[in-house]
Amino acid sequence: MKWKRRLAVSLGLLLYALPAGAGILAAQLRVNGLSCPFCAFGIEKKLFDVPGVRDVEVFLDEGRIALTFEPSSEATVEDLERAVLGAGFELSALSLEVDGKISSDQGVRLIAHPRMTFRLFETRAGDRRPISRESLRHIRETDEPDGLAGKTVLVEGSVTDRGSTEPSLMVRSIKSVADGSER
Amino acid sequence: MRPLRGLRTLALLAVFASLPPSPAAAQGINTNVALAVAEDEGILRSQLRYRRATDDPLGNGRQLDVVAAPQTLVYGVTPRITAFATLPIIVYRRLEAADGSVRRDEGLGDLRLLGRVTFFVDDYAALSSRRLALLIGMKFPTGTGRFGTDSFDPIIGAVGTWAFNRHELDLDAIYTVTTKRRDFEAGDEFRYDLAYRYRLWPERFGRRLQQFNALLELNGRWTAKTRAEGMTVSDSGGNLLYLSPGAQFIAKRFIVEASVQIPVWQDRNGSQLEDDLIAVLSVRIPFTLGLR
Repeated sequence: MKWKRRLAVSLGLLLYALPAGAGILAAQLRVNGLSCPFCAFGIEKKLFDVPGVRDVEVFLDEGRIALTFEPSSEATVEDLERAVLGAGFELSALSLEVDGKISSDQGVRLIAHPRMTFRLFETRAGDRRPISRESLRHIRETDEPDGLAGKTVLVEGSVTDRGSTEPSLMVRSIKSVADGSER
Repeated sequence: MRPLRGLRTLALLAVFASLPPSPAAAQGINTNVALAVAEDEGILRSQLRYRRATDDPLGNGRQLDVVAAPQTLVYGVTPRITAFATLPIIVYRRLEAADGSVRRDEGLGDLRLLGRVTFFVDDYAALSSRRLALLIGMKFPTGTGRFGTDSFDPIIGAVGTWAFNRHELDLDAIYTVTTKRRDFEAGDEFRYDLAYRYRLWPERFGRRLQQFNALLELNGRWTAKTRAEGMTVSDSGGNLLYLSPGAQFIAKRFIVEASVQIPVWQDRNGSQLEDDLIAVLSVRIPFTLGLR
């Protein structure tokens, strides 16, 4: 019977070590004008229709909605925007926690899943700039720019130019899924 | 004079049958609101309205008691267009005449279909919104027996809502143009309402989304005189203004509310009975229609 326990432990460790599926893990939505619990329920129902949404919590006083997603959710920014519009409101701001693979072909991109790619930006000296190599240094294994490609990272930031096919993510924190180190 | 007396009764009943079907979306109890209804989502509003009228200007002791149950279905066609269908069910009507005779009736009133088109939205902060909408609709002659005007009547109006933190103001004005049918034409109707809502509890929302509101409304009704068989019915039409305090509990999945409409000004033409009060109890439940 010992081998069964060892197998179970090994499988558990293996699953733990595997990177989580790429996609949106959590979102914070800013929505103005929600004036009562009835409105909150309307928007909740619409957001639960977004693929992969696990939980929705509305904070009326702050006009904030917190979402969590199933691993490997294929939800997109457009899905979230459409859900809020469908409830009769507008999305005024959006912050996301996303994981995915880095692509550094033309500037640094984060590919969350086949339907969702973000261009990564950061604020330096008050200006919006593409995320720097320095900011990503701790997750790089080599000094070569291509060393980033294919690396899985977890990024948290606010989304700008939401209507774009590749929305920008103003990064607030970034960490490697593998080593968990955080900027 | 006998035919005219019958016409008076008919006019009285027609006016009652067109008692204001109250709104269904979000907050006002007797006042329409311009707040959002999610696309492809529905709300069922079930009301119980009791009206008592015993103030007989002729001093003959006439008395009217009516229990009605208007049922309203609300559907979010798009985020900016909402459809309302209201069917008044007259559960019980008891009219005690001057000679002591009593007549009891029950039946259906006229179906009203109303579309609300929101043309201005300013959601300017958390808990704060300003919205304006147009109302366009039609009243259909579904009323049974004497509980309808037997005519297709266009409805037009406007509604506005201003919600800010713990407060909400709602304002509406709706005009119903009655049309002639078989020598009978009920008078046009104009309703105008102003509602103020204050959130008594909670002071700040926590994770539990529930609230308890106090409301104070002014509900005005003007009705033109009825015309029948080429004659104007003198005992028909007039002005009414109710002051309507109310209370409301809103949770995510239902609203329960109650209001009492107290007449503060009655200027009914002729010798019509005057209202003592109208009591309203109402429940609203959201549901998903899944039409799309």
